Amino acid sequence: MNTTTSLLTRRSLLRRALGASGLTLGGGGIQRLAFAEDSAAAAGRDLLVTIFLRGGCDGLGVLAPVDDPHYRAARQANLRIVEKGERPGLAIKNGYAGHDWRLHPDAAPLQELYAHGDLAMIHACGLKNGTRSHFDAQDMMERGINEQKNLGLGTGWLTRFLDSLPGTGLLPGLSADGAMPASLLGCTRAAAIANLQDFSYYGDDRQMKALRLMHAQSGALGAGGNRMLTLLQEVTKKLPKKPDGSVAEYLPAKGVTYPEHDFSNTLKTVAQLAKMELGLQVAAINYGDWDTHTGQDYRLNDLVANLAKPLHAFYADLAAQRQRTTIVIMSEFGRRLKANESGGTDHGHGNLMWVLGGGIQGGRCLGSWPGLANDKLDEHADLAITTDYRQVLSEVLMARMRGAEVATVFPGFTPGSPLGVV
Amino acid sequence: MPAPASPSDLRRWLNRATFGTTPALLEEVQSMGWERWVAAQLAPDDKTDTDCQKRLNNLRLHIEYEVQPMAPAAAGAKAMMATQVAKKVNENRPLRLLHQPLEQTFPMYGKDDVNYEEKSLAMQEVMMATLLRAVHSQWQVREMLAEFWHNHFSVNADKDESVMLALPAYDRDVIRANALGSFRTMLQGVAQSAAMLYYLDGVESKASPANENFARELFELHTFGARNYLNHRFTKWRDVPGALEGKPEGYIDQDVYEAARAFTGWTVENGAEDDDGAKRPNTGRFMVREAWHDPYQKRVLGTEFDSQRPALEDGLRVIDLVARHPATARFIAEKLCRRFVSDDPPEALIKQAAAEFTAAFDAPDQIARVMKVILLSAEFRSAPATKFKRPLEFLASYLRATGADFAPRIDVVYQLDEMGQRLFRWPTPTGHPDTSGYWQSGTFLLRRWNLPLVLRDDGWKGIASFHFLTLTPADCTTAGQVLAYWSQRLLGQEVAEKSRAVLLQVLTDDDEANASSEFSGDDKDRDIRIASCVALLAASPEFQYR
Repeated sequence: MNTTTSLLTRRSLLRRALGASGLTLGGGGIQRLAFAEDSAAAAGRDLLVTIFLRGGCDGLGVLAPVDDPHYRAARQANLRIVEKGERPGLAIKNGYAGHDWRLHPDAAPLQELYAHGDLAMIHACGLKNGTRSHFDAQDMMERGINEQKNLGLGTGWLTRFLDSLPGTGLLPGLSADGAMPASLLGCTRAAAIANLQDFSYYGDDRQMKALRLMHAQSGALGAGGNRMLTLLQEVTKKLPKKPDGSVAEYLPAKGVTYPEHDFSNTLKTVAQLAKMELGLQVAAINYGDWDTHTGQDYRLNDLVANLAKPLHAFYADLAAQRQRTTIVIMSEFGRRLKANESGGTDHGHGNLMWVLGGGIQGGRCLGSWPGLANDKLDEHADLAITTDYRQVLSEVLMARMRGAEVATVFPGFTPGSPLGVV
Repeated sequence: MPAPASPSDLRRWLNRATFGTTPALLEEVQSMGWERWVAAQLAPDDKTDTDCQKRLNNLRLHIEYEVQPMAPAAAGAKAMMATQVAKKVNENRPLRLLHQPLEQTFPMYGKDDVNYEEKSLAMQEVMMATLLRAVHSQWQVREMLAEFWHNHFSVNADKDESVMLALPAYDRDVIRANALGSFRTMLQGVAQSAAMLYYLDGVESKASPANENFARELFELHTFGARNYLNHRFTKWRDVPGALEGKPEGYIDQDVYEAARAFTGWTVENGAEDDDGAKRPNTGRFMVREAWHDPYQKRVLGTEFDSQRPALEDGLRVIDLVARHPATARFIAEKLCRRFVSDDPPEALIKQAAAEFTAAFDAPDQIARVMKVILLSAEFRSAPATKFKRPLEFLASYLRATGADFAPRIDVVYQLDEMGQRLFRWPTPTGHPDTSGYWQSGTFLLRRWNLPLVLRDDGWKGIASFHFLTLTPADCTTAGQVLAYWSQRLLGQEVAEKSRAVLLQVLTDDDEANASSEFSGDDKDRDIRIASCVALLAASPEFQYR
């Protein structure tokens, strides 16, 4: 009878297996029906994963024309990719004409995906607007716009994309983080789940019922709270459990090992939810602080290594659904061609964008390379942009959207001639 | 003369001006009146905050680590370093670094023979003091403002141990010392602080090219604000409206680059040699290296700087220009209104606060005067509770409303981390967001619902001591009366009808209970049941807003 007493006194962060307790939901029952998902339909959905490299990834430090005299003159050896020595860059085929293109020495897993035809790279890409402010650039890219005057837009591009897709799955959109990014701004069909190991409410059934009733009201918090409670219940039911009732560790696909790193944990969360038949169609991930004003030599090495290996594992982990999975990697801007005096680089303009997936025309560098001669640089300082970031995203979306228009996702943007990403 | 404020008005105002209403505070404000209470809060005297001071003195931080002696070969190679003796440290220490001057704390920087745990106390002590003061300090408005300025001038102590070691002095001498004072003084303090110089790379910025990091954030985050970044409209300085008269209405990239040049040479004493070859001590104190300074002429915001001027002069001129610009008054006023009134603050109040910011610019209590305008305004008084509480506000308001005794440990910081608030470690210079959208994400909500339960966990003994049964008045004999009492304490009102039945069931552990059911059981049992019920009140949507 004294269940409440025993729960609090013996509490040592006991995870409650909510599914096993036969919860009665009262007013929440109707919502449960609305989220019922046909697992066959759920299993067939395309998945778009975006990875946003926060801080301005140095595209010229990841993929560069190592024999270009402008490149060599602009940075000392430890701040650029070199063609020989202890850590030479990794050669690739089908680079932009006229140069020896190399990937960062720690990007071997990416080199492999590229050689295999799964990874396409688009350099001199990005936000044409020209702002050098992280704040503005990220906000604009995540809203799918190009002008500050449109920053009042109350939805992110992923929100508009997701809203155009059919599907009443329980979790159409995911932010693999505690917070929701601006790209999912205004989305009522997405949730932020940072990890699944500790995804439970510590109260008992009665307390859960109380939470339900308190959130059965109008307003953002009521709706958000209720969505979380429903998700909690359904996801918890599907999570593999240990004999003691706690959540078992995620087992990736056979033969796949993720390296030990926080970014791996984020990717594992996405992989696990993607495989759970919750109707997941969009996942937004953040990685890094790539803002290497100083200490770029060792910081960039770490960032690239800890992007490449986990990403490779993630892609292998999702091999069974590779054909309908697309991963887009972008950053708010690239970094200056010429290094500063503090061992780093400052905010630039044109950058590298990657697209990875079974349906991608990989193994190629797409778009056009403007060159690094002074008169070809933006403001005589930074790599120019020849491909609008929305061009890349549009081509990916057009293969995924059924009947809806790119114009609703990227208002004010007119796609140019296709790059041939997909 | 406005009509005397009702208790529910006062509660709503207190919830926004402080970290949360308490019954005692409500009584105090009822007898003093709002205006007198605000005036007292805006002139805090640390000497009278005796209860909080006692708790700070009694607080103990656990530190535990082991040092292995170095292998003979390695020891030989590093003969110059102090030999390491095997050592096991397992202590509970009072707060010490909190009061230590920068020159005594910063010397740990770069010292390999000082264990990382010792160095991290610099950050941990500031965290614990911040948490404890949020709950127990008498000077609540000052605490709210300290948090505001820490986010406005945000540094990330995770970036490097230099920032971590500089944090106590930053918190005490730059932020808290000026939180209700002069913005211009605080801005200079920030620009010359080891914390900010290391965080935004100014410490190694030399001509040429200068490191732009600090200069950009100075304009974008600390003074003008991103809205006044006009780069998309103008690429030439003379095209910016007002520039030719020396009063440009906004800033462009060129201003950032020129300001970066002006700050070259602004650095700290960190053991390296100065321009004359003398070895400076490792104190973290601000110093200037003329040899690093870009001495040529500059132009910032349409104002010409002559060439060959000293580094100190160039940097201070930039600080003056940006601090005094009307865009800055507007930006700061808007942020303060967003913190204390609503996510989308009323234009009229922003204008009024900005006008006071400008009028009182040279006053030593400039910010206090701006706060007085805000806290006494009709807009503040009439604004409904629509600010979604950030995790620290949620935790502190819960502990304050429940009359708990709080002796924080690092576990509390990890909980706040999981709810999205990373004290002194927000990853970007923007500081924590101040609009509700960010905080309402799924996992964050879940952690919030769990927090009152976590606080009661066996492993959390001593962190928060609750007195649920003893604080419940003796004349609350039915479940309905107990529920009404605690609803009033936390929410200022009864819970919604639809939740009342199940909350009564939680209080009595009886599915058949109703409001007139007797609230009975042994002391321990009743205390636990009130705790469960109050944990749910804290999870209610109503409790999330201030």
